[in-house]
Amino acid sequence: MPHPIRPALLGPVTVLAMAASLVVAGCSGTPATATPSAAGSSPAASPSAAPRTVRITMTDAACVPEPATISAGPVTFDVVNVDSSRSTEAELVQGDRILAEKEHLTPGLSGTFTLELTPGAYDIYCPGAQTERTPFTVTAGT
Amino acid sequence: MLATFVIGLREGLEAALIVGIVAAFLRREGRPDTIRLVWLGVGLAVAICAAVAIGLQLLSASLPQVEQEMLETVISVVAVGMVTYMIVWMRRHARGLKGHLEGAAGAALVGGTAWALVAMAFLAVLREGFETAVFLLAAFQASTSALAAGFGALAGIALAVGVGYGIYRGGVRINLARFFGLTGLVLVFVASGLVASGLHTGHEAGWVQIGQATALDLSWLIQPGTPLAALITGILGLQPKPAVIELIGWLAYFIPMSLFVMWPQRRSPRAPSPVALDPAVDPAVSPTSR
Repeated sequence: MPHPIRPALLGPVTVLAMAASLVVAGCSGTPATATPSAAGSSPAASPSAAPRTVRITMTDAACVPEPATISAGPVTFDVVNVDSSRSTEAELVQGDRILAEKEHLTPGLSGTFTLELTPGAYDIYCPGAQTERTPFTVTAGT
Repeated sequence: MLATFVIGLREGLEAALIVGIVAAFLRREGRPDTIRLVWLGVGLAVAICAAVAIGLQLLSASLPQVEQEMLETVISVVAVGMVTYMIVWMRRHARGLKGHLEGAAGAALVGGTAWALVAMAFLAVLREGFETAVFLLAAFQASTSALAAGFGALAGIALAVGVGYGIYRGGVRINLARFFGLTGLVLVFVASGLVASGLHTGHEAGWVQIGQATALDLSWLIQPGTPLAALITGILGLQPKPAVIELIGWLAYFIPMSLFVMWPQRRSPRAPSPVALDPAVDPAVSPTSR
């Protein structure tokens, strides 16, 4: 009875299925990530529909969101690593929970993520930076 | 350039260590025929990852981060199970290793297990591959010094592949008893690292929420973003500032398993190995029938 093979073969199958769903998710994600960049520059227009843009600038010192306060609703984060080799990853966290993140941003690289934000206190977390957590606030209403 | 090199090295090492050990293991276990399958599996994984990265690029979509972390976590769990199996298998065989049966050991490595190991090499590359392929493409398009960034990343990956190949060659050269002893310990390190990095990606996937306080701050010792940090994270699976749950997971695997591996290996060539410490020698797995 060569026992190890049973669970071992189940693994690859599961993983391949996940890999496939990952690819599908990547494709279906296209419209969601494509729209915000078009509407991103006019923040005040329609706060509930079009995501507003928050720019996160990463340096060795810290990663700084601009603006640092925004009203609730969909928000697109534009993450730009200016010159930090210490930190190559930016996360939006609430307490210990990671809500969204962008990894592998070496100097000169940028990336975006979009999500619906509810009012509360958040942090922009960049592991490795001198100041790892920078507060970010979401207020109620517009 | 250094930053992309560091990431290439880190992600590459996580895959190359496993592939190198698996290949050496299969070779030592008298299954050189399966080595080609290992390379094939690795090539297939690389091709899949490259295709996905290029596809995403063409669609100007990004890799779905959470699903990607889920995938990494699931593969980590599978890999920990398989590496643990390898460790147990080798320990059982080490006791039968008194002098002979270089070839006999291979007989015990049934076809299914060899296939499982090939699958593991494939998965190890797939686990790191998606992210790395996307990253590599991005690096070549960086807004500042794109070429340096891209080639830095390539150099990091190349070094990692070199290390993996070195493990394979080295593992093939040294004598079988030392191979078992050394590899057993290396595998414990690898699996402990997989536990820790699985807990890390599990957190990023939204599955692990407890014990996220910083357990200890090693960033004074291991400067984040340096090649040393890449080695530590790539080999030991530990971040410069591991979370409590990651450190606990690492220790909870490492302490018992390293004891398990070290204990029976401590025998001099003259003295017979400690008798009946583990009477349960599974005849299906044991190399010798005498």
